[in-house]
Amino acid sequence: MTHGTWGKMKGTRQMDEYTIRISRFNPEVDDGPTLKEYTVSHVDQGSVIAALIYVYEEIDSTLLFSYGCRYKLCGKCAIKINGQPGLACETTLEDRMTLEPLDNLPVIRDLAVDRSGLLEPLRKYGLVYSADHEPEVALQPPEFSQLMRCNECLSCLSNCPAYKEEIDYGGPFFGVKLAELYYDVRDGKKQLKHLESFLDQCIQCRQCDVNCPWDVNFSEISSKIKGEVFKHKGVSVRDWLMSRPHLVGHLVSSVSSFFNSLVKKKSVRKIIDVLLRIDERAPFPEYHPGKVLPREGIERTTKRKVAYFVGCFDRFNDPDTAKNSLFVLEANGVEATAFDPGCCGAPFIGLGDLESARNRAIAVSRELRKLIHQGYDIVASCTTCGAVMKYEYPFLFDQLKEEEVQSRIYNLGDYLWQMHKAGELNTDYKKIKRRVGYQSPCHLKAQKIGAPFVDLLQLIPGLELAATFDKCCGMAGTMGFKKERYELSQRIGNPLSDEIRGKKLDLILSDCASCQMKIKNDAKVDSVHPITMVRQAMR
Amino acid sequence: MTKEFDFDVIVLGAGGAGCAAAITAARNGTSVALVSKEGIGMGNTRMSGGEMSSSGVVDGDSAEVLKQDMMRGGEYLSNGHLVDIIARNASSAIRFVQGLGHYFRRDEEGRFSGKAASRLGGHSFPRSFGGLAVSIAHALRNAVANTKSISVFEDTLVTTLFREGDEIRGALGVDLKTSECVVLKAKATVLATGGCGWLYYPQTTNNRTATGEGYAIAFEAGVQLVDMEMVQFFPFAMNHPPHLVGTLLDEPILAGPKGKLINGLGEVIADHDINKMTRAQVTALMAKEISAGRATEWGGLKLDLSGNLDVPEMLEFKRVKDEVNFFEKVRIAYGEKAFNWKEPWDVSPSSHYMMGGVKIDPHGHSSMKNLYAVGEAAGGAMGANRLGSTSIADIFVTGIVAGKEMSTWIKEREKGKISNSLISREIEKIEKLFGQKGPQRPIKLKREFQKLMRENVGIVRDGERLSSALSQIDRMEEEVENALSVSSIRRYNTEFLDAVELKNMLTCARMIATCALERKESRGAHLRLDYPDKDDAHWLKNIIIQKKKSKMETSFFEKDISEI
Repeated sequence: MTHGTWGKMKGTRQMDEYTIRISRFNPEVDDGPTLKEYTVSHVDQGSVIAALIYVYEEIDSTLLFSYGCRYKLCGKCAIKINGQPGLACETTLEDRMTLEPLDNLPVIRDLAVDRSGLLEPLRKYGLVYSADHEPEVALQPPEFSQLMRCNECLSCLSNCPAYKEEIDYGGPFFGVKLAELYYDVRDGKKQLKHLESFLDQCIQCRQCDVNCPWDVNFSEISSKIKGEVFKHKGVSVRDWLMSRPHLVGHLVSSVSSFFNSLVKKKSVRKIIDVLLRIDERAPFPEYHPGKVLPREGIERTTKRKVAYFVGCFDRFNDPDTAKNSLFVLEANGVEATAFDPGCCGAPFIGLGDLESARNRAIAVSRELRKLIHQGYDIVASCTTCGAVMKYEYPFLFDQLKEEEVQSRIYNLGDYLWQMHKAGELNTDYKKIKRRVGYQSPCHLKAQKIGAPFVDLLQLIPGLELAATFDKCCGMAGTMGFKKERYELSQRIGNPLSDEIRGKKLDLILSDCASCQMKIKNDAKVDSVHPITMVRQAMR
Repeated sequence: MTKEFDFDVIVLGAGGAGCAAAITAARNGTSVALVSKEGIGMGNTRMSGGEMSSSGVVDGDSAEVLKQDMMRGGEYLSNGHLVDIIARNASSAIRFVQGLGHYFRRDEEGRFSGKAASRLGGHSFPRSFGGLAVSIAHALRNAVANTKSISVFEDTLVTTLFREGDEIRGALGVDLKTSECVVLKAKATVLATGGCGWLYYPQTTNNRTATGEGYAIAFEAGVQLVDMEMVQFFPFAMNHPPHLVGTLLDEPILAGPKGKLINGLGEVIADHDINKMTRAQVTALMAKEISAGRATEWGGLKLDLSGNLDVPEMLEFKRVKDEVNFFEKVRIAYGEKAFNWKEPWDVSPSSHYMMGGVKIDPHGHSSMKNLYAVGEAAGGAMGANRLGSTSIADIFVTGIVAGKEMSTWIKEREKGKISNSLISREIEKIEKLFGQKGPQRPIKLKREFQKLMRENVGIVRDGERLSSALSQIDRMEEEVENALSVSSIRRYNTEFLDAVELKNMLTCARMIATCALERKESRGAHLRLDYPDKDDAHWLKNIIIQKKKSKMETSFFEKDISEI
């Protein structure tokens, strides 16, 4: 009788050698972490966890990492893989991978973080289910099941810029726990008060969604809850104004030069600070008159038609970015038109005024659909407008849900890069001798398309991309203006400012206008949209 | 530095059973320490299918019918008193779990009805209520964190029960993050340490923590264990690629009425109603083919689900599972067609559950004074085979029962002393491991041991291989004693953890192999090639195993036929 084949693990045929770098750190004896190289024999279809187990078994069993279930249930194997948090069990091993522990959590040793702190916020806020009885009829809303998918891997905490500075707030992990109870029909809406103070700390950078292995997409749910909180609260004059950049833009742009010189005065800023609680130390945008228009008589050489989404900031504060974007598209033979349906609604969402945001979403979607129907691709240079149309419209407002519509909405950098890949981008650029840095905005990272401008900038001869930055600037839409949140905004943003100053660069390129403002104001380095560079390089 | 703590009750293990015992005892006014090798709720409860048995929801169903199903499913080896308690309290345990915040799947109208329940293999009625198991873990942790008189000791490995005379007076733990010892003194101690699926890694559905600590430390303390030969192999688990080997797919219910099992030669070995069979029956059927050398290239069989594509209730089953991405790994590893049942899945049985364990009375009390066991750490209720969804019922019922019982029990008791010499002797054993020099790395021996278990003490057994396993276990125990090398790192030293776990795993393995050698028949999960038939005349009895005067001894517990 044969013995059967239990556990013989057939199928380990082809053995390749892979080199990976693993962060080694024992806080008791080392000053800081060091990356150590290991060569692993890669098993066909191997995952990162398989490689770690290999290192542990075959090379060095002092390596510490956590795992439990081997596939996506326990959440313990979450680490940073090439800088991005993710589960080692579901990530396919690649050569030259760098493996590090999650950020923002105490490291026990090497790749293992201490998760025991999770109990604290649960205790502190008395987060416990407290329904008196189980109702006979209880159907949970879809948000409940969505939240319940969370396997507590803590990738979201690793990404959260606010949690990094404000551990007490508990971060998205704690938000998920709160929201679970909030949405549970059996427990009522008892958690709203906690949620209100929680959402005050959340900067809506959406980084908690980016690496979530179960697509809990907490930032979308938190926007919804913010809407519920808003219903019970009044709105200040400042917040009312700040959530209407298009209206304010219209009013101010007609007297822009007067307004600009006025708010440059310290005394005026002081008055605004007191009256409106807009912090006098915060940056303030400049206003411009006029409208962005495409040029006439351009030769069309591709079939591409682009409706360039003119965001509020584009229109009233930074018309150069819109002009440059249209110029670059047109110069590459694209039929480009300026699409200006008004504000996308992002500031309303930030405030929690979902009714007003919904009206914006419906109006913008209507126009946008028409254009798509006419064969236009929608392209936005503003990363926030883009993220809102791609994620918030479908989830919060049931707009633009169809794949064929969604697939036609692009980020500017991504669109140009795709043109380049299709051989439709003229890259016969002038030489630009300059050292610059690039900052990845949170809402670009949230779109999970990488940083396309980093690739595009490499095509410009002579241009030296001396550093890339991906820390949050702390501006968080309108948060950085607000007196009561200015201090947190600074704490979140300071590490980026310090890093930028340390690199001694004279220009930082960033897709996001808020980041640019904050970088100029705090790091005292000039900052523009990267399309400016592309435009300058064109002959 | 050693820290000492005093509690009324210490609960070792923080899955469903441990948390239920801790919460119940604490709610009844006792001070509780909840000790866990991992975080709270990070073990097998979290990884289960999340299905929990109820009784009496559907017309015609009752606690009595559930009991009969479990007795029959356990092939009449179960302890009827324990089964009775589980069956009678299953539905109230569901309410307990709901009360902690877990939400069980309801029907379209939001009602808790038979329409929302599944009928799993061996059950007479649809009575298993599903949900996300992870959510059970969330609910447990929220409740534990917010129960004031529970002190939590996470990342703490328990190495020994303190026995003085004929009673247990506490336990010794090691805080893995610092390697400091923790002396936990208590009037009552509960083993809620779960099972030992990791003995068969990677051929296991279990979490890596399931290394049988509870069985081993109970055995070392002279406590009686029962049915240790009964290791459940779950029929349908992944068998490739290597890093997914052994991970769970589903119950016999997955095969539906029209699923087929096909061997490596392409012969159909079962083509209908596999879903009505118990886990043990399906596994036995598969094991027969595989051990006869008729396995697929991955060492398993093909499960062809295409026949169910026109069965409405199976399409509904698929919809519910897909909603929670239950079979995502099939899509990734076996492809889109397989995921949609258009191509067969390559499946192998995988070690899933330990029917055996610490012998308890209906209150959860073990054979040793002051020591309780709950959930999978306890044995006897599941007999020779466990039906699907009964373990989630079991962990909560036994946890609650023991929690209540203890809170009364401790009121009448004075806390016994633990002698300093006993404490320092045990601490010394731990300290000696750090920085120990030897030729063998613990993980290497662990892997060698697991291979031995899969090959010699696995699903299909025979006297020769079991005896050979026992002599290899002797050799490995000696190596653990004398040849292991362990670094001196104090901050979460996994070599130390491996060494302790391996010692415990070997103790479990010795019990399993000894009892398996003893039972000269095939019944339920226990398949002997040299004794292929069930032998009711001689073997309708449980094997009890116990350490007496530092020797392993077995005895028998005859079934009371009237119970059956």
